[in-house]
Amino acid sequence: MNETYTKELIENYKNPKRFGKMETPDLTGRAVNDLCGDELTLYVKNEEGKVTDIMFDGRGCAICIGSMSLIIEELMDRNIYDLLKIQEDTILDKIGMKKDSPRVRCATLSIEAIKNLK
Amino acid sequence: MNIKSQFPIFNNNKGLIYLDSASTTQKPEAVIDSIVQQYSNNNSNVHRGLYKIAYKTDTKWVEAHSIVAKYINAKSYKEVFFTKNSTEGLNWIANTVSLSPDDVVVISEMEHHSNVLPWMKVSKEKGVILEKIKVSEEGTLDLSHLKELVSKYGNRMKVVSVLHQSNVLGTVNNVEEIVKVAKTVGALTVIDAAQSIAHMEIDVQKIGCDVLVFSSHKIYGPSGIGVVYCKEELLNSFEPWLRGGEMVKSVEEDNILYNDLPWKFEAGTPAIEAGIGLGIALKWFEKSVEELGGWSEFKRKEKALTTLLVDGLKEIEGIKLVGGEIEREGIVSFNIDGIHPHDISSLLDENGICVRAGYHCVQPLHQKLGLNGSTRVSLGIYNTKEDIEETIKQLKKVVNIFRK
Repeated sequence: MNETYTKELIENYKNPKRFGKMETPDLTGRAVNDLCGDELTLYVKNEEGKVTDIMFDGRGCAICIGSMSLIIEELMDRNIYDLLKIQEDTILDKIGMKKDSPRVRCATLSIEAIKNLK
Repeated sequence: MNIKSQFPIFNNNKGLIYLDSASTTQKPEAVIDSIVQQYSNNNSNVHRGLYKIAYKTDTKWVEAHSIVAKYINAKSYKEVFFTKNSTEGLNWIANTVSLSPDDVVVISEMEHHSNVLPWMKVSKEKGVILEKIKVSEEGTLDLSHLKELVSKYGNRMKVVSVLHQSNVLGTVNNVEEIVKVAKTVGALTVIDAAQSIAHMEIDVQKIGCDVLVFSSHKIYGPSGIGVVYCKEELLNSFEPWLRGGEMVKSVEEDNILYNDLPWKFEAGTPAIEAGIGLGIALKWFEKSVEELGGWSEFKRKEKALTTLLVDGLKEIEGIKLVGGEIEREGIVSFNIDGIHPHDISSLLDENGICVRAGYHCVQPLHQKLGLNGSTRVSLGIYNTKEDIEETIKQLKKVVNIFRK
């Protein structure tokens, strides 16, 4: 677990990238972890099927917020339909978390928010 | 006397510091052995067989009820029946007591979900008013509010069901006083002793309550077994909630003859080994408390550890305990600015330290106090000064990871 709590993750938790509410998004994706109440909302500006702006807000642990922040820049300029096909491994590989970790759901909440975009 | 060495889990997990006994306690070898022995030597059903091993099992089953009755000072084993856990006991009474529209049930703002949800269901289904005794900002129960409710509703108040010790705050409610006030309007009194059972003497006659519930697994016994204490005259007047085998003597077309107390309330084959194991656990616990110097010495030691923990926590920058300057008994919950409880729990686990993170099944209290969960440290008979010191040391390291 210590491998997951890297300086980079903690930094992304303390100062998350693109954090805040977008006033008039074209798409939003919300995900809630029922176990702990952590939640993420992703806001997307969409022009001709492409992400032209993206932000998120919510509340959660370092893994939840840090994961969303770590992945969010990569989502810019992507095709929306490609985005919806994103796999959980994308974030688990990025933060070095094994699939059987008790904290998997904290990390994959970010992926769920992306998949829930509508 | 070395308590820790009597628990195989600490021998099998070197360096384990278990601080989640409010969730469930670890099991001493004596209890684990009793389960193996029951299955290895006497396995058979209860109240059914006419052969020797069945007789032995029956004897042990009745004996377990007697041990429980004696432990909580019930008048006889007839006032004690076994359930799955405290939750089932509370569901039993909520579904058993006769309630009509506009009757009033009183719980409190610090209840575990198990003493909230069954009454919410009854309230919705029967049109019963559900009131909650207020909890002060400090984290204590406002008994003057209970008195106000008594004045407001009078004998429409049919049930007062409250917990003995809060599993979040660690505070102990004055249940004797609560029962006394509730009895002025003749309300049925229910005490949830799930948390207090392993931390103080429980005397149902002294408390004066009608019903008291607890779970075996929180007092070093097996999981899957719980206890309901209920006054005999009430048990005689109640219809059984669960029906099936064991709880009847005869079943004819229009005539059902219920079994004697307490078996009338134990429908179906129970967790036999666990019930017998609970008896062994209570005997073991009683003996251990005695060897530690009796209840007053046991409580003094636990209080000293709690104080050590509270003082250590207070040294941590940005810490906020759940509840103010209150009397905590072996349970302390807290938050640290900018660090999520789940991160604290995961990082402590890296060092073999087990603590609970989240709502602890008490979301309404957390919401009232404006908290999105907390981290909880709770003590058991096996915890030592070293456990607390190591935990505080590791907690400071966790904070450093986030503060750097």
